[in-house]
This record gives sequence, structure tokens and C-alpha cells, in this order.
Amino acid sequence: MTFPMLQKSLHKRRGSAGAEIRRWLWKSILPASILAFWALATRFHWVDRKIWASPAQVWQATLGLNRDGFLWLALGESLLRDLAGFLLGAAAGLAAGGVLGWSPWAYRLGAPTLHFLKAIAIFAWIPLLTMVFGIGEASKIVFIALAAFYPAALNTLEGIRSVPKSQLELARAYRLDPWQRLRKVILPSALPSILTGVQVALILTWLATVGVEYFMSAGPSVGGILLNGAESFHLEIVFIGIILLGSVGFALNQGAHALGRRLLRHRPQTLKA
Amino acid sequence: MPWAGGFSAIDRKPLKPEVDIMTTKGILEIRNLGKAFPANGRKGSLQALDGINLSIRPGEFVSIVGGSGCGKSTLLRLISGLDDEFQGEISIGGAPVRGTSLDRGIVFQDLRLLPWLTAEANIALALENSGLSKADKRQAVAEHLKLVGLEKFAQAYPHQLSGGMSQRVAIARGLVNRPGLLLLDEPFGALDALTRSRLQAELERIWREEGITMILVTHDVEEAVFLGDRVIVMEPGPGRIRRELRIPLPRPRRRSDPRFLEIKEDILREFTGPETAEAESLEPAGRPLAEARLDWAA
Amino acid sequence: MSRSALASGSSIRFSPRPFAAGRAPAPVRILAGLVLPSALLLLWHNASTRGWAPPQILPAPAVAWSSFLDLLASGDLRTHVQASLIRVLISFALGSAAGLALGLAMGLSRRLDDLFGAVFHGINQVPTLGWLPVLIVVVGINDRLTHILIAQAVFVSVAINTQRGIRQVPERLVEVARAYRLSRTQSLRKVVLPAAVPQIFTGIRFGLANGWASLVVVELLVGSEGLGYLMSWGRQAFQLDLVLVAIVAVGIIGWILDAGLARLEGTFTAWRTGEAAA
Ligand SMILES: Nc1ncnc2c1ncn2[C@@H]1O[C@H](COP(=O)(O)OP(=O)(O)O)[C@@H](O)[C@H]1O
Ligand SMILES: [Mg+2]
Repeated sequence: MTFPMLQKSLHKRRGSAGAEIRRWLWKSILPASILAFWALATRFHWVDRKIWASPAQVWQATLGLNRDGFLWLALGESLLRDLAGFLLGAAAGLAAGGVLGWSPWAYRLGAPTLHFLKAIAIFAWIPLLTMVFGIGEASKIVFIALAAFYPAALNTLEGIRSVPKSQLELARAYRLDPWQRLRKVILPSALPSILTGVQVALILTWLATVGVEYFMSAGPSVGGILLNGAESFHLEIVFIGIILLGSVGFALNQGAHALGRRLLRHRPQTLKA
Repeated sequence: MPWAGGFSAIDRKPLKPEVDIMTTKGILEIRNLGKAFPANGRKGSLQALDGINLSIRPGEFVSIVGGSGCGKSTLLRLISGLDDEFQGEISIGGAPVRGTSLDRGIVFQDLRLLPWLTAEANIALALENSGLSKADKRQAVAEHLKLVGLEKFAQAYPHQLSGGMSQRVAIARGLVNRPGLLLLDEPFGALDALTRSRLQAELERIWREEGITMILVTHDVEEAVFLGDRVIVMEPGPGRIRRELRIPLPRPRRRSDPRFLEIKEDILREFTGPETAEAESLEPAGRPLAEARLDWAA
Repeated sequence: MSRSALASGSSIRFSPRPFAAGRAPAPVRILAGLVLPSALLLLWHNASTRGWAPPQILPAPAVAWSSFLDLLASGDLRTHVQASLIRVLISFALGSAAGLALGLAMGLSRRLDDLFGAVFHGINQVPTLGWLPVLIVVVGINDRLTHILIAQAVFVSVAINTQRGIRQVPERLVEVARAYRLSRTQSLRKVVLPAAVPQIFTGIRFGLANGWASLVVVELLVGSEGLGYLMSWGRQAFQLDLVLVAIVAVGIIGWILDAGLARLEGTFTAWRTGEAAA
């Protein structure tokens, strides 16, 4: 076992071209063996072939499923739903967080309740939501919005409340009015935290979208693909769903971070990719 | 003044295992030393040090002065062995310096106390591999806490200490294992004037009694002249030695001695030109007065 | 995605004291905190007694309260809570132990990081919810599924944060270890692990929260006991009072679990200042 930190400082570890290639090969050992094992295991029936599809079958199934552009349709449905819930929930969260962060009394009144509600695992709301709003689109969007609400609200709240006292005193010393104080001191100082909240909201809503499609049947959608795959015992369909789920999540995450970096480009890096 | 009068409590004791003596003795020889950092963003590199030649005898006290950014800290890091990538040679007694050694101590400019260890435990860190018995370690730590006047703060965590107190802990950590060569990077920067001159006197006493070679980086010309057998004046871009001068004054030195003042002014002129030579130091002390006072009250 | 960002400590804030609020004295804080819940309760009461909503959809608070007492007296609530807790704790223990081991290995050794990195980060792109259908097909609907799913949720979060915590130990402190020639074990004990502890705890706390949430999902879908099951059953029977009791129980237990970990974290990081530590 090497112990890199105790040797040289980090940026000095760039090796020769040969070393880089060896390192790359070393990195691909595990993924390659897993793929190879999968192919062999399905080829030679080491695993239950009724459940486990071969790599080729997954590919065939993908083409089959997408014959009429079904995958794109499902993806579009899910993303649209995600977007609606996200906009609703993030806006409400920013507003609530702003009020709670701005006014100490609002904070005292609202924050304990907010913290308690946050402690409730979000999917626990599903039975209640379906009883109140039914299992239609409204119910789904409210649930997704709820997923966006907490991180947006809590991070906005924290961001505003942790504006350094010294900066607020500075604003008082120069007699800034409340509007100037907000524009020149509070918002710039809270911005990284607020953006973090929005990013987390974006990522959580995608999870919530697929989850809610799982619980409330939703027609063509990513959650629907996963559910159908599991119900019909077609693992290859499940894999297609997982790949969709993972890649959209990955893209959202990258996008959110790129946006965050752009908005905060004047500052030392607070958001890590 | 919680620690007034307590200094002589520290006796000369053989804190170091005998084996280390080998590396202590011998001339520190720096030849044609250069150091380049990869420059931020742009291609090419930043030459932090260039063509440094310096030779320091065992037991010598050398002060290095210069404005910020002229490579003083970089030079100390290279001597300490924390950074092995440089051009030129650094050797002690003919043997090239490779990696760190317990015989070369360093007091970092940014202190680097471990925030999860108490003041006491931070000092004890330097004795982990000293080969001393547990009891001896405890005693050495206690004595050095006393030396820097922090015996009441043995159990305090760094975040509970003021800047000046933290600095004293860092100094104690640098001294406690009695290295043969001690590198001090602006060790008194954050101290109030009284504590500072006390610790300067203490440092001089330890140096005299233990024969430790010391290299002190400072931006305070008076301090450099007060303590150094030699003062090295550095200049930036790239970091080079501009001037080297011997301080022929007998010890203990008096700051009001006219010859002392003359040397000081002479060095200050290197930086400021003749008119403004009254300026005491090259950089502001970097710490508001109020904090210094608090520090003193503690 | 999904988890890679969430599992990083940077995005989720776990305050050292979850319920810390303002500087007002404690009684004022508690009273103020109770105002909003009381108002909601009053609204709820009015809504049901004045018939703003049909009683089968919105039972009166008193009804919900008496259902709670019934569930408590009959021992049903205890059974469900116990079932959920045991599931989550077993999986949490397995997942965090494995996550700690892999995280340490990947943090301390670049070779092991390279070896496991690709597969690990690939798995991490898929949220817990995505693995559920796979497990349903492969493992079947049983307790093993629950344990694997929750342990996986905890595992990923703990492993990522442990690895990251170790990698992010400031170089300047590692240099202190080098300057004093600390051995590998000494530097691990004195420098690397203490520096990584806050981030490791972020992973553990997030892992447990995530595990608890996943448990509810699984229990909603499958199983015959546990709080999620209680909810799902209440919904099918159109007994909103049961659903509400279960929701509140999920919240309280989730909060207690996190508060317990926060306290444990506090004992490990006593060296930090109360709020913002470096
Ligand atoms: N790790 C580093 N990477 C890049 N540049 C550095 C690094 N350390 C120091 N430098 C640069 O080297 C020069 C000398 O720095 P330093 O030795 O800290 O100066 P001093 O201690 O005299 O103020 C500065 O220009 C500084 O920006
Ligand atoms: Mg410096």
C-alpha cells in the first residue's frame, strides 16, 4: 500500500507516458473483468438465463424498446415533470428560506417546524399526497416540488444567516439602507449557499421524479420503464432504465456545477465538481 | 506576566539521542540554489529563488531579511528537506540534504498547529520519535510551555488561543526536541513588543547555551541585527541575495548602542532610501494593536 | 449524479446542533417554535369540525390522536417501529463498516483508488431507487432485499466521504508530520484521521438519513410490517390518521438517529469551535 500524502506534494506526481498507460490499464482491470464475467456467465449459463440477459440482449432490447422513439418519449415526459416540480419547489423554497433568513422572528417561528419536516423521509409523504390529490399529475408535481423545497429553503436560510457579522457591521457603519444591504452585502455573501441549495434541489427532484413514477403509474416515463422491467422480470429493461436514470442524473449534476462555477467565477472555488 | 522569572528553570539537558550529533555538525553549504514554481495558469514558471550561495558554520546565527515574496520561506523549506525539487546543491557536512530530519527543526510562518491537539499535545508531537521516555517527554513539554509562558494553557485547543499564543506554541514545538539546526520563519511576527523582546532574549540564550545553528527569517531589521551573527538581505523577482553583512557587535547587544543603530539604518537604506530610513520594519506587523493587548492580558 | 453530489459534504449541511436557533433564551425559543405547529393544528381542527374537507379524507386531530393511542396500547406501533429500526440498524452497521474500509483503502492508496474508482463511481451514479428493481428481480421481495438496498445506500455515502476526507487533509498539516518524521501509523493517528473525521461523519450521517429514507420506500412497496407498511396500509384503508401517525414517527425516529450521530460526532470533534470550524 502506498501512502501518497506522505511522499511528495500532490501536483508533482505526473509520471512518464509509460507510467500513465500502465496506470490507465490498471484502472480498467475491474470494469473489464466485470464486463467479461457478465458476457461469459450468460454465454455459458453460469447464471439463471431466465433472469440475466446477455450484453447483446441488452443492446437488442434497447433497439426494440426505442422502435417508435419510445425511450425519447419516456425521457421527455419525465424531464418535463421534473422541470415543473423543480421550478415550483425551488421558487417556494427560495422565498421561504429568504423570509426565514431575513427575519429573526420568522426564523424562530418557522425554523423548528421546517427542520422537523425535513427529518421526515420524503417518500413518506406519498401515501398522504395520493389520498389528498389522487394519483394524477398534480400529485406527482407537488411531490417533486416538495423534494426541491427543503434544500432550496434550508440553504438559502443558512446562507443568509451566516453572512459574517463583521460585514453586516460594515454595512451599518456606512449606513446602507435595507435594499442596499441586501444587494451589496447579503446576497453576494449568501449566493454560494443558495446556489448549492438549487443544485441539490435539481438533483433531488430527478430522484423524486423517478421515484414518484414508480409509486404512481405514469405512462411512458423512466420510472415506468424500471417498474415494468421489474414486474415482467426483464432485467435488460431494468438496465435500460438504470442507464437512463444514471445518465440524466450525471448530466444534471454536471450542468448544475458548470452553472454554479460560472455564476461564482469571481470567487475562490466554493463548489466542488 | 504569568511567566516572569521562570526561564532559568530550563536546564541544559541532553534531550537528543547521541546519534543525531553526526548530522548536526558540519557546514551547511548552499550552492547555486534555484527554485522554480509552475506559474498559475500561464505557461512557463515563476523563479522563486535564483543563484543562492550561502555557507553557514555550525552554531552560527544567521538572520535573513527581505520584503514579502522574495523567497525566504521557500529557502527554509528547501533547507528543511520538505521540498526536494530544486536546482543546485544543499549539503550539511558534505552530505546532501534528502528529505526531512529530526535534526533540522522548522517553525512554520503559518504555525501549522494541529487543531485537534491541545497546546501540550502539539508540542509533544515533535517528541514522538525522539526516543525519550514518557516521563522525559512530559517534562520537556512542560518546561517549554513554561518557556513560552503558556503553562496555564497546556490543555487549550488552538482555536482557544490568540494569534500570539499560537505562535508561542509553535516556537515551543520547534525548540522542544533541540534540533541541531533550527529554521525559524518569522516566528515573532504576531507577538506584542514585550513578549517579542523576551522571547528574542530567550532564543539567544538557548542558541548560546546549546550551540544550535539557527536561521531566522524576519521582516524586522532590528530583530535581525539584534540576533544575527550575520544578516542576509534578500531581494525579490527572482529571489536573490542582495547583500550579506557581518554584525561585529559583542553580545548581549543593546538596541540603543550607536553602532547597532548605524548598522540597522544601513540595512534599512537598502529598502527605503536614505530619507525614510527611520521606518522600523519592512512590512507592517500585520496584526491590530487591540489583539496584541488582549494577548498580553492573557 | 444523484448521490455523487449529495454524498459530498459540500452540498448538504448537517449542523452540529440540528435544532439550534438564534440567541434567544431557551424557553422563548421553544415557545416560538411551537407557535406554527399549534396554528396548523388549529387550522386542521377547524377544517375537520366545520366540514371543510370530508372526514374520510381529513379526520379530526382528536381522531388521529386516539388512533395513535390505540396503536400504542395495542403494541402495533411498537411492532412496526421495531421492525423498521432493526432493519435499518443492521444494514447501517454492515454498510458503514464496509464503506469505511473501502473509503480508507481508496483514500490512503492511490493504486486501490485507481483499481476500484471506475466501478465505484459508476455505481454511485445510480441512486438507491434505481437498484430496487434490480434487486426485486435478482433477490426477490424479502428482507434480504431491504438489507442489501439500505446497506448499499449507507456504504456508498460513507466510502465516498471517507475517501474524500482523507484526500482533503491539508498538505500543510501533512508536512508537519513529515517535518517531525512521524511514521505511517503516527501520521494516520495524529494527522490524517483527525483531519478526516468531520467529513467521515458527514458521510455516516448522510448515509443513515439516506438509509432511513430508502427503508421507507422499500416498506411502502413491499413487506408486511414496518412504518412504511403501516402508511401504505393506512392509505389503502383510507385511514389518514394511521398515515399521519406513521409520518410523524418516521420524522421523529429519523431525527433521533441523526441527533445520536451528531452527539457522537461532537465527542470526536471536541476540538472544533461550536459552529464554524476550519
Ligand atoms: N507552492 C507554491 N507554488 C507556487 N508559487 C509559490 C509557492 N510557494 C511560494 N511561491 C511563490 O514564490 C515566491 C516566494 O514565496 P515565499 O518564499 O513564500 O516568499 P517570502 O517568504 O519571502 O514572503 C512568491 O512569489 C510566491 O508566490
Ligand atoms: Mg514567508
